[in-house]
Amino acid sequence: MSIRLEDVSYTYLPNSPYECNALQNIDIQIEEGEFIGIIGHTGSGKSTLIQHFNGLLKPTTGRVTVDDIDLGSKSADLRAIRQRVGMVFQYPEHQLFEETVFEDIAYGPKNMGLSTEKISSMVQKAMSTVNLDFEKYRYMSPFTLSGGEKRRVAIAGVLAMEPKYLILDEPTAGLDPKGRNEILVNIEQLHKKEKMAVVFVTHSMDDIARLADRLIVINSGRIIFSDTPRKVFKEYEVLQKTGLDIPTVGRLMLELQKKGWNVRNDLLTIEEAKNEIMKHAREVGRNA
Amino acid sequence: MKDLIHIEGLLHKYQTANEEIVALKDIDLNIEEGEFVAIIGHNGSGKSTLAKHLNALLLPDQGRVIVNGLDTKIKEHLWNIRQQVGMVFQNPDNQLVATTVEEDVAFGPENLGVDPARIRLLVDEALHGVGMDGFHLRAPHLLSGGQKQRVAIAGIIAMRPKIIVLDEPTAMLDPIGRREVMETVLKLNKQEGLTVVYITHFMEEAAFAKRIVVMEKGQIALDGAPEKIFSMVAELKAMSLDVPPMTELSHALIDEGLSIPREITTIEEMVVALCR
Repeated sequence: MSIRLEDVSYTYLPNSPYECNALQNIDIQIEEGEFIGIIGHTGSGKSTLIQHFNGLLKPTTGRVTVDDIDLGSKSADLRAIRQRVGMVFQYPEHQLFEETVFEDIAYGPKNMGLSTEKISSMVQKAMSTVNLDFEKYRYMSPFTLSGGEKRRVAIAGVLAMEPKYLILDEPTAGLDPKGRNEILVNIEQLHKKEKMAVVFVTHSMDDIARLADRLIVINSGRIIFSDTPRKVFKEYEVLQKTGLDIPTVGRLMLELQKKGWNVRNDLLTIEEAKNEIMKHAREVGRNA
Repeated sequence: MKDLIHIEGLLHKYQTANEEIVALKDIDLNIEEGEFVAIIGHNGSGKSTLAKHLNALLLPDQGRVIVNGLDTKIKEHLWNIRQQVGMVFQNPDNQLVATTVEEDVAFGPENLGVDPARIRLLVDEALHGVGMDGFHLRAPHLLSGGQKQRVAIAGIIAMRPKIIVLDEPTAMLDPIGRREVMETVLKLNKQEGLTVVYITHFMEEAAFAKRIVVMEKGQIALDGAPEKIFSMVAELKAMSLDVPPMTELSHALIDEGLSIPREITTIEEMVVALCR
């Protein structure tokens, strides 16, 4: 079971002077339980791409299937697909609208026509996943919450539908470091404990280096890399040319190489950087 | 150096339907000409409210805000203050108003009633200042995020302000866009002596400032050089903040027994410390 895009192209405003090929010949397969990062500069086609995953956009040419259901076929139940493929947009807190946190999160399950008890248990579960205490928050107005809390309410609203695939478009933009960490930890746990497939669109190379099993790099509507973060971040020259970058620790290692250090530059975390530097320090006999 | 910004006893309250919220309290802050000050603090700590007091978008409920000798409470000073304190916000798409880059940058000076020949000069200089020479006739909405923010900054500096206040200018940008904006702001500060107030959630960006002001619950909790602020790891974490990646790495290396300074905040400083 998977989300599959086969030779997908998408053209905005076809046959007009503003015609624009936003996606070209995209082949992607997202397996159950995978954690995929999507990176690309502003305007590279990331957001257009993810809107194909649940049928919000229909490909101009090519085919999209979710668990073998062809989204282009007349019989495809797009409502059921959108429940299975949960989508958290950029700044999702702008979409909060109900009077209480409970009502806002319950909106999706309610539209699925479930019983009151079932809805309540789904909301409780979603709130506990994003670490919002049920009793404390359920009657609060979402608009009185902090930025990070609002964002978590919005994500809970998607989780309450119990999706199998979770798509997040820059879920940490504009949050303070703690809010950012909380959301990252929530998503990591959903992936690890609930085995949810996660597709994570981000501009933070440091975060995605640590989290993703596989990284898809988009440039001018095409996939230019699809590989493990370690392999993708080796291509720093290409990445920098396309408006991207490598993780902070990788940049440090490149600078150290310029100074003649024999160190690897395909590092992803602070921990790895520490070990590599200590290894070098021992080799050259530097110590405290 | 003289104080361009002088704030004393600033109090700011919001009235909601059923309660009064104190957004800023007991703020005393002086910013000198030519300084580069970063303001950090968690969501809701009062950073943006404070920024809006710097050009009289908000007025004090108590206390005073003096901008280059002008009290923001005195109505006659309003346009003078707004010309001296330029603001750049998070979303570049909300700040661009014209159909070409040069018209966009000219918008401010035109509204100040500047002579057209002089506007041409101001626009050229401003675009040069942000590294966007040759983009005069391009359409702003077709630029990259980093380019859009630099056009927004050019639109501010074409008004020849004393201070530029940037409220999370890189939150929506890709890595290169972030770097372009940061480098542009650093250059304007160093080469043109422009005073910069830079609000951010990215600790590695705050590390480039000469001074960091930390906001917490509407008050100034800490104020000092990045090396000093980022050495207070426990205090920062308690305030929902963090240290830059290089500071974290330097602490990890020290724990392993390497003798390097604790106060490292940038890649450059780390390389210097390791290659001594």
